[in-house]
Amino acid sequence: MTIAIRKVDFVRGDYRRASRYRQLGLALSVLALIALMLLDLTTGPSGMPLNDVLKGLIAGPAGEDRMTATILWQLRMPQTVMGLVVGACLGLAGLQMQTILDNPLASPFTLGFSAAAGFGAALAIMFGGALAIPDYFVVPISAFAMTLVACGLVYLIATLRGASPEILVLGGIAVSFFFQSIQSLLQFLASPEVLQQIVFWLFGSLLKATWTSVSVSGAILLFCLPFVARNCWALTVLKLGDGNARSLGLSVEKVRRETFLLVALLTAAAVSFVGTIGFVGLIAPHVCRLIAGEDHRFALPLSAVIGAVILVGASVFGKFISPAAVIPVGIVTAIAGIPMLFAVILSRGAEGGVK
Amino acid sequence: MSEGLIFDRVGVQFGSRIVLSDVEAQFAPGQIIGLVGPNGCGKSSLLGAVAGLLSHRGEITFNGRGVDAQNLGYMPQHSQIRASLSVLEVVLLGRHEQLGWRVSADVLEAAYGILGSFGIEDLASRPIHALSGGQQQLVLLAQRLLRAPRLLLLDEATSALDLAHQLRVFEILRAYVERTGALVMIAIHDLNLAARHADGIMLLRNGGLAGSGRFDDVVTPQVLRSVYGVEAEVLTSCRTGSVIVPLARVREGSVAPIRLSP
Repeated sequence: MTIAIRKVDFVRGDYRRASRYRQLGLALSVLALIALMLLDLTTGPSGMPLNDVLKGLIAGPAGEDRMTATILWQLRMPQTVMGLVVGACLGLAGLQMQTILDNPLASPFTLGFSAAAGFGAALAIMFGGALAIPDYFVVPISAFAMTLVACGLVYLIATLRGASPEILVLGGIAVSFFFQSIQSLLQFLASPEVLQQIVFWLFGSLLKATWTSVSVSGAILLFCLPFVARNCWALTVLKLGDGNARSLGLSVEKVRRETFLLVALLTAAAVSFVGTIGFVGLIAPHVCRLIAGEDHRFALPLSAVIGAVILVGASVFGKFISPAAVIPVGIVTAIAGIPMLFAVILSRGAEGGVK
Repeated sequence: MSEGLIFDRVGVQFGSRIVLSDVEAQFAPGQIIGLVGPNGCGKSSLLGAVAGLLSHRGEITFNGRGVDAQNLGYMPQHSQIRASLSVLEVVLLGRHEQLGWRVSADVLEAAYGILGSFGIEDLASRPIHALSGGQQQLVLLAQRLLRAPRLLLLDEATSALDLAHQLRVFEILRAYVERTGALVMIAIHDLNLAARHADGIMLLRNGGLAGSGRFDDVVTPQVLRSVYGVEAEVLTSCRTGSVIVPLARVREGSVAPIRLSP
């Protein structure tokens, strides 16, 4: 009898233990992120030992050592913080996308958002000169606006024909091809100099970050967080399939449409200033599932942190291998992403994710 | 009387195709009702209409009011679940509307208790996608019971279960009904299981109701022939006193031979 009771106690402790394990995973990821951000601040063309970085951080932007303060607070910090914000946006958007589309291949770009942002940027780079607004405003605004246009188109299709995963994906593919093709048309018509600028924008690089872009993207991320958090149980229920979710009283289409809007906002916040950065939104959710399963209370924050870890890590790596000409982070994530994806696929054993 | 589940001239149609029309029946609470009928006769549509997920004509009331999602546990026909959630996490989702950032000890205890009564407590931390279809059905049923529904609608909830688990599920449902006075309606194909465990029966035929009430009043050899097209007897077991339906054969001439092209 005692043995039987012990066995039950053991089983009942499992859930709390799993929760603690997940919290630990989250805490460790946050520590890794902080470490990588510090490392990112120490790397750059002019070098700077960790000691000086810490001193400069404590002294603040108005510190006495003007050179350190300028390099740290005006040049490197916006890039590092932008890495955090963009990575978190893409990680969150990726996990939500994979959940609402019930598809492990989905990413923030599945529904044509990156193609639209690319078109918006290309449009602004080509014709923005005619406006009396500086380039560094027009390009992100245009990219942001086009992302929302793409979102509106897919949303319209989803409202007319029902927000099932199939409809969303098909609508997204159509929108994606549309924007890609008119962007190609712009590239075809562009002069060599303009073409170069467009191509450079498409690479996705944190070098474009400024405190302005950090504030705008950060504000959008903070604005989205409460809405993301509010739907975390609903998204977990959605994992049981539409039929089960509906029968549990969940308004499946509403959750899907709301989440879709959040993904569009987060993606626009991520790509409008720094250009398209692939793979983060695809891989972060997979890594996060390996650590925390699919209870979205844990998975959402973890996916955001892991997205940030991947992006800041890629930035550090890009600076390490060629300190003089920093390799755009979008290229690093794309190249490094493939082995990571393979690792994730191979580590999904017969029983899959949950620990 | 307004207690229990009442169907008043209920009809369901998809576009121009009429699935059900003029269904009239009423069932008092505290019973298990078996919903039987041939494939495609509208059992699932009827349950979907009761659950409020399909639009319907006529009126369906439960205890005098429309069916309320808070009092309802509805389990649709099974489809394989691929999520990487543990069995316990899936059961907890039965109360997803009330869950906060921290899952309370009460809910956790209730979830473990229900898994224990199904005899699958040892599966609690296994991932749901690694379970067999039958085990998943048990987990989903446990999830619906965690909602403590006053009205439980089960669409072929026992279809993938072995004999022992079928009996266990009905024993659990019986205990639940007796303890809470809830009404359970279960769509089921096995007439013997329905005869043995259901207090009442609702027999559908293509497009409408063929009869409702006590099993031996509704199911007769003539009814089986006209609704299912099978020859069968309806007997009373001399050992247990329950009704059994030994099936004989499909009605003569109703099966065309398979032609293989040369």
